Amino acid sequence: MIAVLVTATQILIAGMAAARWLDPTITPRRLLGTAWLLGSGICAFILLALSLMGIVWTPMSFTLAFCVTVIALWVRCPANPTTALRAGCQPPTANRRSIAALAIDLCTLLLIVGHGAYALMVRGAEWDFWAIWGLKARVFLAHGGIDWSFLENPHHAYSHPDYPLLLPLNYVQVVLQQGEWSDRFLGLMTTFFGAALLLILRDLFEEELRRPLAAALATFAVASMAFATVGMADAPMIAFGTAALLTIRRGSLPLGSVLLGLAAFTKNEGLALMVAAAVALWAHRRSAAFRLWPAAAIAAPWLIIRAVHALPTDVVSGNLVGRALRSFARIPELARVLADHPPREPLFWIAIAAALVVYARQLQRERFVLVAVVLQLTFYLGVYLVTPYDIEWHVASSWLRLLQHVAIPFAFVALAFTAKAAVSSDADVARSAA
Amino acid sequence: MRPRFLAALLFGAILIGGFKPLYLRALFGDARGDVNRPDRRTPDYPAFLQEVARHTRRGQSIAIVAPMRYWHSGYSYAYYRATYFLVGRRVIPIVDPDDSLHPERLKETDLIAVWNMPDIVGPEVLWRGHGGVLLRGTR
Repeated sequence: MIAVLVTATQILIAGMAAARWLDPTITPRRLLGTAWLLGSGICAFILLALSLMGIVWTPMSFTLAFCVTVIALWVRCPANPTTALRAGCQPPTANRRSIAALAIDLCTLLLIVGHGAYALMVRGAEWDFWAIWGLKARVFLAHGGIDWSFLENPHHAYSHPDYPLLLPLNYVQVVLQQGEWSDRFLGLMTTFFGAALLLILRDLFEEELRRPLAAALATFAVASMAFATVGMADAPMIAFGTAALLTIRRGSLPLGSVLLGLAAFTKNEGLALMVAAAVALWAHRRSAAFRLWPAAAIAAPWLIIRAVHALPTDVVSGNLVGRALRSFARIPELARVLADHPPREPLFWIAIAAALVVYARQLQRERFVLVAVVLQLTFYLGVYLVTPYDIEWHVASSWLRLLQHVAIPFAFVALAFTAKAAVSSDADVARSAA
Repeated sequence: MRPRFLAALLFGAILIGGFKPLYLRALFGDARGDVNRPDRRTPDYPAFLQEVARHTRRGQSIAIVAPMRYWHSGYSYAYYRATYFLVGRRVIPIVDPDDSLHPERLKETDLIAVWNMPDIVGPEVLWRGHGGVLLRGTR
């Protein structure tokens, strides 16, 4: 447990400086959540760099590299970020206290603690943890760096050697602190990623809705969706992807693009999200799309490394062209299989769909987020159509997890529409109805 | 329907629909039934592998012999579980992803970990327990 807490502290120290540097106007809760996300990426890149330089991972080598990186970041970060806060970027409700909002926030905190308890119960039980994410961390630790021979071994294809390494490297960092491998507390990393996203969402909702109670309720509404299967990379993917889209939506492109890049360093689906976000931004404001270059710069090292080591990607293996040509014929089959695997939260999705229909005239305002997540879903469906696996198996083993990647951006838009309509004055309602 | 009531209704539906009681159950009730158990059909296998790890050194090659004959219907589990527990050793599969059997690899390994196959015998038994046996290889 102490090792996880030491790692969390390291991650937050590194991330705080980066978050303040990338967005000097960042508010306290968003700063804490963003610091976790950025810090986990920074620490993973430190371990990747050490391994590429041939330096064996030890607590000492990591700590030295960590200190150098953190000092460099703190030197670059603005000396007095509160100046920017005073300049008018503070949420309008920052000084308003609401007992009811505090009570709802405590309920959200209870869910986070509950997830932590669940994560401790699960330990390393999930198949994808011990066959992919945890396995890589354990193998790399024993090797003292990234074990390329393990990744290149065709018998280890199931561990998906091409998957980006952020999460396994975060696990490596924890185990470096604790001295020997134990998966007992690693699940807490899933909890921390979910909690980080909720901190960010809480401030974004307050900025959007301008009412603490509505913001607290909206955060609670999506709290369960911020957590995914313990030990797997879906929770970090949800956190990075959602935070990136919503940060770009509010105009913070430097920070948003870095978060997008870290999503791409977490899962291959993050790469798809990067493309989806770029297209959505291009459609929204062409010149802004080029300002997403940090995302590409962060994603590039792993893409180059995996190309150099020829690490295979299963879904594009074999006769991809042949499968792509047959893909249209597979659409009815995919539709049938998807119908057999409806979401586990039908009311949640029906209500979101209904909100988007009811407030259809306002969708234009949210076109960046909506285009990005719809494109992301389209990419997922496209992969199912060209999959070399049995489509039934592929959908059954991933669809509900992938759907959760886009749940919170959809919910954010729907909750913003409904909350604003619910709390607006009668005059606003009359104007809206007219 | 009044617009504000409809908005509140939809907001409430999203809130209720997205709520997962599992995390509160983990805190105040019993959520053990919700935890995946990858070894539920082979409860002895992880303990066997842990003991194999204890009786072997890093760098040694260990072949995995298990009753699962086909890669996708069980042997991949046996092999990957072994890779996880026997980290630092070279774990050798005797079944490939195309289901081809490779008994010749048994002659190229330092050790052979045989689980749940009592008929398999070897030149020297190093350890026995948890439904399996660790044999010295013939390399």
